[in-house]
Amino acid sequence: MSCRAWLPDAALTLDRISAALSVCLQEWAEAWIGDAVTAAQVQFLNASQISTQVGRVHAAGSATTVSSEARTKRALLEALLGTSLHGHVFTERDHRLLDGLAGRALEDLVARCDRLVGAFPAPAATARIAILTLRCPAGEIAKLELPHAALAGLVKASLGDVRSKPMSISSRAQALGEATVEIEAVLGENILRFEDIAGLAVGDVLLLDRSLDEPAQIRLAQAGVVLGAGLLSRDANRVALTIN
Amino acid sequence: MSSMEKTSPQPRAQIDSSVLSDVEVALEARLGRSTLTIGALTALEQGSVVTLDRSLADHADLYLNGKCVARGEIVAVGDNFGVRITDIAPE
Repeated sequence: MSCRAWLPDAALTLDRISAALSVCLQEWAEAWIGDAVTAAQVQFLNASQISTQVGRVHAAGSATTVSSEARTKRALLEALLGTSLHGHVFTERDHRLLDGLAGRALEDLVARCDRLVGAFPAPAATARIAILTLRCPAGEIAKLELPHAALAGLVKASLGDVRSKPMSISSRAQALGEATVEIEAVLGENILRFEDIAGLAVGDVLLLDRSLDEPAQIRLAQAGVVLGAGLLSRDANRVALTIN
Repeated sequence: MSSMEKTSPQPRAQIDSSVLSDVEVALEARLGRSTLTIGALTALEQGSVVTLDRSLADHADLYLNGKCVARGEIVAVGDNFGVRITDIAPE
């Protein structure tokens, strides 16, 4: 049965998800923009609630998707080009070229995110999606969609270096060695008929099946398992058995 | 038969206890117990001494089917051990 990392939803905060993705976003930003890109908001939606808009550019990977709608595409392009597009008039061809540029940049972002998120596989049927709003100084540039089921692993991995120092782990043999068991010593027995047992009285002598030079049996009190044998002896005023 | 009418109880079949008189059971003489850690238990070797929870003056217990039914002092009967009963529960 497959299993995956788990954290309560309350632990999947924007800060933690951001921190988990920070290196990936930073490297992408350095490669394409030259400015910092941060996750400004996180929203959890079911896949069916996600709508697409005309005019957006988007790139889909095996685990993640990133898109920039008409509203945010301008800031994305300004960040990519490093210049304001205010006042420029674009031809249809310009639009296609600019969309192509934005698409390439988003494809690279998705590839980077896929490499990171792909290490924490989520079930194919995952319906919940985390949507991160990505911002740079030019404004909101895109929305990054991550499978919710992969977030716990992603966040946990990023928390690795801030884990509290765990208590040392004892060896199982040492821990078991400190457990106690009760043993009992059996001198011997005799097989009697019901009739004889019913007739037993004070003063009767029950002959045992053990000779005087034979050791008594040592066994685990609860399980009745025979452990060994020991000759009757004494330890100060106590009855003792000397293992033979 | 009306619902108020009482029925006489069926006579119960009883097993004659004499048929059990020849059944055999083991009566076991136990000297005492000791509590050991697993570490101490596994370290036992020839010559090790295990001290029991009984003093030399205490008697051995006689167990029948896991229950202590009598107590007595350890004696020698010829070359064998025996237990002279000093205390026994009523039948």
